Amino acid sequence: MAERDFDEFYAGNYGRLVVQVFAVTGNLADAEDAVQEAFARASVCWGRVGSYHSPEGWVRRVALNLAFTGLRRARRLVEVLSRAPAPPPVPPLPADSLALVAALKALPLGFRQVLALHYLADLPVERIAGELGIAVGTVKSRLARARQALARQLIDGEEEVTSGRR
Amino acid sequence: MAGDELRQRFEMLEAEVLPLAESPAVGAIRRRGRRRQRTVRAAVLVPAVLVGALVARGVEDQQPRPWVGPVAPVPTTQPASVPPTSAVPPTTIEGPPTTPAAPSTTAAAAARVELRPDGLGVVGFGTGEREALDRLERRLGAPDERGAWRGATPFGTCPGPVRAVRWGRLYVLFTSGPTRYAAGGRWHLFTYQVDAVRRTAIDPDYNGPWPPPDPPPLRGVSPQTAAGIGFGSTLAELRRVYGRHLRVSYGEPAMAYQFRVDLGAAGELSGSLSGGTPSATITFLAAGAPCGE
Repeated sequence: MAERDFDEFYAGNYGRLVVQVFAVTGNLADAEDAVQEAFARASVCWGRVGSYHSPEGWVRRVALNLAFTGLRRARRLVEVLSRAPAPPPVPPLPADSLALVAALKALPLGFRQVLALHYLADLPVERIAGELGIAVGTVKSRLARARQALARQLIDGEEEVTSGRR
Repeated sequence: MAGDELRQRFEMLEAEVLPLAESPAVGAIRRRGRRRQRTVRAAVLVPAVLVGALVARGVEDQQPRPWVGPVAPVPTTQPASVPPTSAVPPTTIEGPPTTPAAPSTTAAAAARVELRPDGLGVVGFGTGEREALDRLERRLGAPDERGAWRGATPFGTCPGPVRAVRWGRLYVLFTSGPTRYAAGGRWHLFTYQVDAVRRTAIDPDYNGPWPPPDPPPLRGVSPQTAAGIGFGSTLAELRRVYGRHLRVSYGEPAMAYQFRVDLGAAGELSGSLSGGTPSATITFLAAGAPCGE
């Protein structure tokens, strides 16, 4: 029963979590690595994780931690060590989405996290506060500033493209 | 830009990225989890055994020093590299401007700092930390940096706690963990590496925009093998010197051109290359029991 639960949980959440982590990291390969590792960790302690109020939140949090510590550090060290070309930072996407990814990457990590949790995970501010371990008020103010900063980045990016075309 | 418009753009992003996120079979995820569980158990068990061994032998006299950063400025002029042949006297080695230790003229000083599969010439792998540092400082002067780590290090996962000392491009690493050169509990030389960048400048907790700034390149002391192979030597030179002992490959773990010189019982040299052509150069060189990822 528990095994089938995990299988369903994995099938139902993998893609969405990859998108959410991708929005924060800006690198699809890193996001996939981190989410797969997080699901692997969930699979061996599913009895506990599966009983949580939000197993998805647990996997997301582990994946984001991994994306910003272990996996990325290891990849960076390997790149530095080998001077090998890095994998493409973003997958082939339409221009609008590429612009959004580029704009997100220009924002501080805290902004990217609240934006991804709000717009992609559809979490209310209380849940965002719980996942990030910060106050609800902080989430609200951070979300407001993140929206402004993202909009500014998107407009700047579009202006650059427009002026480049002239 | 209105909130609704932002939401639409995020929804579009999700719709476009979802098909690209191909999920591995759930069985593969479960196997990955079990593999990791075994690794974690081993990682817990091995230190426990080591601690037991340490307690049995008496605790090591020194604890790892905290990171103290650069202890002397890196020379702005390139000091003479350790020459490739033993005919050149060691007094050609220049230390940083603040070098306190003058080169010795004793018989011991006749030995050179040389990249060897079994050590650095004046010190072999397994030599105790103090003795090794004494000998190396006599040859190279005061180091440019010292540091100490437990667990994850800028050099990868090592056999135990690590202390690193750097002269120019040369990192010399000591551990109190067990290696093929010494049992656990005694700080000893277990590997060296000649590196392109200041590895200790990489912040393991970096959490800002990606990619992070590149660590600064290293200059200065850059020893070579007896045959003159070192940082910057070409693949053609490697082939000429080591012939059938040389293996060049491309792929894991670094996804780069790597080389390995197998010198039988003497040990081996390994490292990375900037490419696979004859003119590609060595960007990293190590021997001993290097730390892994």
